Amino acid sequence: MPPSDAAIHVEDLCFSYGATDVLHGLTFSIGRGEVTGLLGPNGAGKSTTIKILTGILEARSGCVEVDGLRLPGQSVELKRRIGYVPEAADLYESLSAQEFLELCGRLHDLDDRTLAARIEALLTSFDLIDQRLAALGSYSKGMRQKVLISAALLHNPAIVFLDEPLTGLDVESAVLVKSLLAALATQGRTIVYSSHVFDVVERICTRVLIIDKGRLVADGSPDALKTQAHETSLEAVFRDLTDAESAEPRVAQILQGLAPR
Amino acid sequence: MTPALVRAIAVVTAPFGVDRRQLAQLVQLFGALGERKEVTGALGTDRQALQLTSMGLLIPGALMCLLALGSMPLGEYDLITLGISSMLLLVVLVVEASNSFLNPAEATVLAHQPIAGATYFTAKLTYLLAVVLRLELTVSGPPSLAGLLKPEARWFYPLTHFGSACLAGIFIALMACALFGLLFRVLPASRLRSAALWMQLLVTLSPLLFNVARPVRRALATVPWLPHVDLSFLPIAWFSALGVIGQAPPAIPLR
Repeated sequence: MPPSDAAIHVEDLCFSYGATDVLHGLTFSIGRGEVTGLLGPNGAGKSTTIKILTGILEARSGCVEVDGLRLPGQSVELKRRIGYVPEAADLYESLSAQEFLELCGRLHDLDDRTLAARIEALLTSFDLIDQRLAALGSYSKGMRQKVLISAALLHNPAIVFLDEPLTGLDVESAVLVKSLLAALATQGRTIVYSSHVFDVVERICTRVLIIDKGRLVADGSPDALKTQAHETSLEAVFRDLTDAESAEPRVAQILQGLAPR
Repeated sequence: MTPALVRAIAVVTAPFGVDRRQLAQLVQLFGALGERKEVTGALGTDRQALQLTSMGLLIPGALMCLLALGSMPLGEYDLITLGISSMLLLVVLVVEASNSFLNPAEATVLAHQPIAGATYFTAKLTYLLAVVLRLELTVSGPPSLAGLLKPEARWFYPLTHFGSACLAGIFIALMACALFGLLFRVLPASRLRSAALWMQLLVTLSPLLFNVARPVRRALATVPWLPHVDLSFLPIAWFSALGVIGQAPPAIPLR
């Protein structure tokens, strides 16, 4: 049984891509209003976990409940309630940002007046208002990322999933997104944030889940994890827990390889 | 035509969980993507090109009517007109189908939107059906009516012929999708455009190849120890049989 205040509850979640097992019995609950960072090395299963929680992928086994809805059975209803920023900035190349956001808003049943006001506010904040009619194919990666973030927030979701949202963003926009996430968190929204950028996770998230090789290896607040591991930074905790090698020996190896013979 | 078609399909499919508003939204989206050549670059058919093609198809459509004046039986007439119209349609639908069904970005763009599978699939088929209807009206409309000149044809022949032609059009579009789907696995998306060009060229030349093959087939038919080739496996045979249903025996009997 999931805890009554849980926005997300996952129990014994397993998933595999063909013959490759990716998740091995993940179990965790995320409370309403919690800002949770999902950390893990490449291939740990972070994006897969998010895709299952957003109803895009179906778990092989286990129980998944988001906002009181059972997955995969209620995935369409769930998608109405959540916002999701995917890792890949894939968009319809021939649509403009305005058209794409209109499409997303209408698919979420927003009325025309609300939709127009929200699109204008989001595009203005992200400095895209002047290019709103240009084809998305002509956008840079950062601009596309801003459009995806706008699309995820357009319908004012109670739960937001972000998979590497800062990829490609310039410093100014990254600061804006970080502040936006912090503000959304103070409004009591549940945020699940997958990233490799430790300082952002440390600053924004009230809780961190570290996944390695499809298993949950740590769960707690950034401070608690640091205290537990007797480390001063989240990055160091991460390295300890995931057997990630220190960068120095690898750097030395690369430089050695580049040295003239 | 498309809004009326969408409304009609929305009414019919609502009991199956198809969302009416989303259906209209998606059909409009697929139309815009096709018009802007989202997948196949310069090969896509925009609205103007589609209208022009549709008007152009009136010529073969009208010429096929002349066949109704000959003495061939209804089954044969149906098979020939359906064959010619399907061939002409194939050239256009190869590109249209790839534009509407095979956008590699679509999975990530729409997967997290609240769209039920039934709505998505119905929207795709509705869009394709709208294109097929627009083209079939000019290429198959006249032969459907002219078929009434045949003594075996009953009053509903235009309906059965036109209906079977539309089904053949949808079938062609889906087959084109399947073929493109296979090509996607072996070719990078960037080479899809040239693949589509080759497919169009092949389709255009196929009647010629068929003619070249005809003497060979005739020669083979005279060889007594070769088994008789049953052509009922050809999709055109199924649709042609549907075209003359309740009126005359089909040119290729189904088993």
